[in-house]
Amino acid sequence: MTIVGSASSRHVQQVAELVRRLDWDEIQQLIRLVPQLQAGSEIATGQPGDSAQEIRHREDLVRWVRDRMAQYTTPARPMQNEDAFLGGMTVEAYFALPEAERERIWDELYAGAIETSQEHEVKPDAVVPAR
Amino acid sequence: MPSYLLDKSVARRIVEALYHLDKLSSEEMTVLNLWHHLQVEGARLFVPTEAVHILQRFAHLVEIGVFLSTVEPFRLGRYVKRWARRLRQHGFTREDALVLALATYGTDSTGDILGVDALITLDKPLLNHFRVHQAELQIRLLAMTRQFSRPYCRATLPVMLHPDRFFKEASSGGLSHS
Repeated sequence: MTIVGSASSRHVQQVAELVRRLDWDEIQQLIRLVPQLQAGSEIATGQPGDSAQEIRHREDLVRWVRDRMAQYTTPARPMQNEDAFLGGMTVEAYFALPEAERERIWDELYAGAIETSQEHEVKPDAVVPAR
Repeated sequence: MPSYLLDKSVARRIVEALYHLDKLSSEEMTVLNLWHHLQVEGARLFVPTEAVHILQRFAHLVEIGVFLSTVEPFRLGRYVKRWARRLRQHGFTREDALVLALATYGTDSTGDILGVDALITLDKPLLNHFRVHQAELQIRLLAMTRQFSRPYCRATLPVMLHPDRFFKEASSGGLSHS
């Protein structure tokens, strides 16, 4: 979440620095202790003020995704915290990183891969988007 | 059948959302919604081949496997790199130029498609830069494609959309294939 406006006070900056070190569970504990934080939260699950329709839509979407994952028949298993994941990290370490750092890892991997990519011929009668 | 290229920012957010479905951010809700909608619509969903390769190492994990089962790799077609170099002259970063060039001159695994209907990205600076320069890019692309044989002479700039705007733009009927 980006805070736009005048420079933050030193106290706010100190608190922000502490919050940045918290994992998601700890942030949820903090929100329970300080309910005012919920108002500006980006967390979409159960935001106060959501209409019944929005809540139902969210639940339907998550149910659809879970069904989709349950139907996935190739031998695979759900991610575990200790699984190896991107950037040579574990799943747990990856998801504990801030957004910008996760993005940086993808950028680095992607840039490395595309450097060596070769171009391919396209068929003369290929489908082209209409404009 | 409409075709969409999800850039790596969208691919990343979908994969991350699948890992924690019980605590989705609003942005993750948006990309999941889009992913769901495009599958129901029967669209062809592409992701840059390089992003697919990154994820394939982890395809034994359900979250990654499910995502990969819904997308196809989009490969560099001929002239992607040339068009990317031109785009850089219009102020696009190297990476942004490549993804936009891929959406214009990229192809599927059989070479049966040239470019996509829309490039979907969460990158707002890229979206803004594209919007500002779109008219001059059209002229530049036309000048370049005139020299080419089929199918490359038929290449067109893709529509570029943020997931938030996707439903609005798609419902306006502007996305179709010839």
